[in-house]
Amino acid sequence: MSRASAEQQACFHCGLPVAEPQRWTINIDNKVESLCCPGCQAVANTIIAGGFEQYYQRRTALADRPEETASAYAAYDDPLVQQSFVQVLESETAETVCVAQLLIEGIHCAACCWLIEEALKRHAGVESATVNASSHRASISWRRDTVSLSQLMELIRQVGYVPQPYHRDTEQQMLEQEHSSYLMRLGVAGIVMMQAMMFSVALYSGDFAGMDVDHRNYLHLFGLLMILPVVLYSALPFYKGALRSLRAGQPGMDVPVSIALLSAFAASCHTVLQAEGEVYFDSISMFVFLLLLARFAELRVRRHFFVGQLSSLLPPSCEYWDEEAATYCNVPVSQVQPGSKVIIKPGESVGLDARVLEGKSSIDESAFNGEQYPVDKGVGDTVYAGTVNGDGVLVAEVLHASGQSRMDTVARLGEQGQGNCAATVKLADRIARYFVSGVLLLAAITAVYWYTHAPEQAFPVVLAVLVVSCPCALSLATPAALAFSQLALRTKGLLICDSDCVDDIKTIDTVIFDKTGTLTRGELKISRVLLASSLPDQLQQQDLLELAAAMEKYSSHPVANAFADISTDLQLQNVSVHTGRGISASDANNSSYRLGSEAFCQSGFSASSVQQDAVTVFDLDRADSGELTLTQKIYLSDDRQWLACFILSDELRDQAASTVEFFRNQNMELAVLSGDHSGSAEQLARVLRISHCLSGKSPEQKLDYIQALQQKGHRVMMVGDGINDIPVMAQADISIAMNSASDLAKVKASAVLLRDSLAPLAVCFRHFAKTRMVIQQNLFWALLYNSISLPAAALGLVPPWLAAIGMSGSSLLVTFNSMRLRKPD
Amino acid sequence: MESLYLWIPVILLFTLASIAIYLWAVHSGQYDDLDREGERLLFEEDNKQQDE
Repeated sequence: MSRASAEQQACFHCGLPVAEPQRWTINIDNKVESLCCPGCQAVANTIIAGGFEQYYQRRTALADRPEETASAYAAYDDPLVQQSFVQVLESETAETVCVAQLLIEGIHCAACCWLIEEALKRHAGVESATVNASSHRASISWRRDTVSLSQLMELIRQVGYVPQPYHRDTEQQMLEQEHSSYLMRLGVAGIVMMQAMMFSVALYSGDFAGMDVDHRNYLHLFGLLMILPVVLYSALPFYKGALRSLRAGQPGMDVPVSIALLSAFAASCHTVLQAEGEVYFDSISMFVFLLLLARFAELRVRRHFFVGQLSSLLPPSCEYWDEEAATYCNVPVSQVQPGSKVIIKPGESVGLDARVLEGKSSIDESAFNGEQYPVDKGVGDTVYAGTVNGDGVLVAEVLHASGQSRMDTVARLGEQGQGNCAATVKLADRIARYFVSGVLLLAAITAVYWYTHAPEQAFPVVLAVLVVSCPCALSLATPAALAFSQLALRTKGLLICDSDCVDDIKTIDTVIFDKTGTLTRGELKISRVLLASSLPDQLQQQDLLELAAAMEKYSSHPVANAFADISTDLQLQNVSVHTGRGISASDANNSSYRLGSEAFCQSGFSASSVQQDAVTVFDLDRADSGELTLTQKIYLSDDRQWLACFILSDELRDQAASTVEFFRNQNMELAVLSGDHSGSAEQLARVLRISHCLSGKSPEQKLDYIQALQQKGHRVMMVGDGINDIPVMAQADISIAMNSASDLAKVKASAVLLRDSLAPLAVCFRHFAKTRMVIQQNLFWALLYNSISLPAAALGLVPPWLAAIGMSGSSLLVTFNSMRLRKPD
Repeated sequence: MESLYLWIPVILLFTLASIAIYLWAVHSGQYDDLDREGERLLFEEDNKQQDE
């Protein structure tokens, strides 16, 4: 999988561009491969040291870039917390065996499952481990006394995946039941289809070579018995769909499908009873099989992304103040009542919406609103479930019980938004409505005509009309094209979740990008280091970087991540973290340093020295005015003077510029939306030449903005991530979620970008146009076939065997035409 | 050709039996993971190192 390119090398593990080729490397099969970050290196090392090199040979998809921060899994060892996802098995031996159900993020292919299974199985104390590649679930049974669950979860993290407890949720359970019921219907139709074909071969050759009437009737009778499971069981979803759409007054594609199936079946029954005429057993079973196959493929795509769950952001337990015992104890979040007092420690996720009673801290709300800078919270402020506490300890009063937090409300809001969009009727269904009415009308006219002119011919002719109108081609036209189109785009890195967008995209005239994490990577990097004009003795740039890195180790602020790559063994004393301002510390020589905002560093030295060095600071300020992307300055000082200024920047995502350019060439209105106030959104809009830019907007304001656009008649496509964008994305006519988006955002999106690149957007625009063309060709052919065959059948000119050939032929033509979409461009 | 009268019902029984076996297999979870099984034999499961 090493894909060295002339310009930029791709990371051996995750495939992202490698900025410094020689910095992180790994030896595999006597070859040196470059990696993009220490996180990838650690994971690749674990994989190779464990003897799992096969993973790299066999995998069909690149890995995710691993999280560098270690998560604490210790909370999951608590038996109270384990209640919901661990089953304790009775065992004869002294050791207790437990079975845990985990949901694992980052699984892309069978090689991932193999890797996780083997890594777990080799660990002492693990009895068995199975990982399901479709549902991303792992079932692990282990001996509780030998190894703890947190150790096993840590092991999974070390090979590059993110484990979390799996809690059954009803929607997912329903999806899984639907999956296996479709699988059973499909299998039954397939088995019967093969057998019905065997009978048909005998019957067709009998028609030409001559066949004993008794034998033919005998084959007809058993064919009828054989077809019963297909008509009565496999085809049930079509009847149900037809009834549902009729009840709603909008006959869909299921109506002609059901009519065709049942009338073909009725015609066959008539043949068997009368011992004369034609049977359609092969057509019925093949038709049902092909249609079920298309629906099953669609279901699998949906299931593929419905594996995440919202609760993954919430911690399993929290420290709760027990009034009676007058002590803090660890309890599962679900058992905490509103009004209880909880303590939130530094670095912990907040489990429930709560009002701060004591303490202050900076809270990282990125999971909530996608913005990377923490918000300061003090007494009286509300902290929300799903956010992460920074560096202060908070005592807070719980406002809502678990399940009623703002996070859940946002999720529900998203669902409602999605509901509003469901009014979009699929193209095939729109046509089907006219088609169904047309066919029924024609059948009625035919019946009346033949009944008055030749009553004994009426039934067979009306049946011929209904059978020949069998909307195989018409109903396959759209799903077949969509299925191949989805397949092609998936290999290009875009997963279509809602097939309506293929049709909707042609009306889009406005594209809105989220800033952080969409146009930019959402990760801060040190772009420049500016040194003070006079540095104290022997201090070099590298020393200052190491010093800053050592200090930032104590911080959980996102700025600290920019320094995480710098290795240092400096020992610091008297470290104190000043929330929202900076860090102060002293080194082994007892000289003290400050790292943080300008004001914070300035407060560190005496008034007189500030005067002397003020000039230097202004120099620093001017020096970075030419920076392109989002920048932020971090200052370092000792107790006498300024030492350095670190300019941190958030990088533009690969192909952000070319993607924006592509949409501009398509004459789209472009806009950037951002929730942060720092002015970097304006900067970004200027660099990418995007005319509209809205920064510092709350989710409600973003929603209003899109609604206002839509009221003016614009059709909006939104590209974004983050939970807070969900209502906004649901409101947009088409929404595309980034790969890094929360699972919930992915479920609600029209399409998901599978890699960390915006390039597939342009590809999908072109490919959708081609898909629409193929769908139109398919529909044209289907309508042409029907407009010729229907009148002919109504006139009694079509013998049923010709109808059967025409039907199969037109279906095949539609399928082959759709296959042209397998390769994008 | 008289044998047809015997063998066609036998075929029906075979078909029903294979449907029954298939339904049982789906029910018992053997088709839960359609992405995985096709590739399973490509991976070595090395049992030697398992006993540590």
